[in-house]
Amino acid sequence: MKADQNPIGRMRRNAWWELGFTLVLLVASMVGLLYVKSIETRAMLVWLILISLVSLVSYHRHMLKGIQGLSEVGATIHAHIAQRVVDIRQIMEASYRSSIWVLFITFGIVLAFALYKALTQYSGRLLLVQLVGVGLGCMIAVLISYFTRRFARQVLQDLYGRHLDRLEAALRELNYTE
Amino acid sequence: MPAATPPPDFLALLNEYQPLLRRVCRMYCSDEENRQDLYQEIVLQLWRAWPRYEARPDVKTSTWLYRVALNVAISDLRQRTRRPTPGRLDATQLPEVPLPPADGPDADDLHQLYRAINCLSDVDKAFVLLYLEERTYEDMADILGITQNNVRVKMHRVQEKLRQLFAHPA
Repeated sequence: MKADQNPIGRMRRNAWWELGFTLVLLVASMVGLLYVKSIETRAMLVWLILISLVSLVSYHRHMLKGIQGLSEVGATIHAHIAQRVVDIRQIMEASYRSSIWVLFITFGIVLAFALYKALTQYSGRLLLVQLVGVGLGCMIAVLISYFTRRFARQVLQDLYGRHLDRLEAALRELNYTE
Repeated sequence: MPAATPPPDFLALLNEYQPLLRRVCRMYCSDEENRQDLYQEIVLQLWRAWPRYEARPDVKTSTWLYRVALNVAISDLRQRTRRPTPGRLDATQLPEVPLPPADGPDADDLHQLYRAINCLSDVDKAFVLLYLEERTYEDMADILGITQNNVRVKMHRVQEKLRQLFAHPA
């Protein structure tokens, strides 16, 4: 079987691509930080560097550890299925958390800058208009976050959920003794 | 398959146990294409797990092979063809399953047996397979990772399910 036909091989390959992309993003953001003058852009670059660093020590580590666990096949059926359930959960949680946190904090930074700009550059009626704009932006961010959470859950459910359900059912069957 | 050439002892093992692996595939896949895919996946996983087993063979070779083959068959992440929901033991919903060739008066029984087995859950199929392979309860417990008592209870339950399917033919 070709490596790209093996689902775990594909997951591993994708995880390494993601890791490579994160490294490229990290280096590009660090280089960009040296040349960019705009405070907003610099803040976003710092944010990208932070995301990349946190991803490297948390998300990618959990992801690759989870995928590595999926490759172990020599244990007893019970131990293997139990471990696989744990590994798939770990992968799902790592993907879900990283998506949601990146989204929340990105919105936070963008809105904080919009608010900062409104407070320092406008006054009177224009300030009010800007504040209403930021308020609307917050509401839109909440709405997008809500739908993104549902979407992320749906995508993860499609990718891993049915396998997890099947494995949990198999584990329950093996554990059931009554 | 990794690029390295498999060692002769791995090839010998594969050669010796190929019929066993084929039987596992036949138990879990009803069509030839899926069966071939599963067989390749099992061989790939065996090959990957081989260095660890070779370094520390603390279990019998056949036990290790059953473990790997059944683990791959039960928990693989490949897209599967739709199968009957485990637990719904309605004989009228038994799917048509291509069978290994068989002649004589037992052919119908064999046909019905395979159709019934195909209706069982993945875990139940493992019990049936090990039972048909004439493994002892001790071996089955060792492969499955549950107690011998539990094996006995589950074996009894699987036999009941099969009996139920035979009692109410389509």
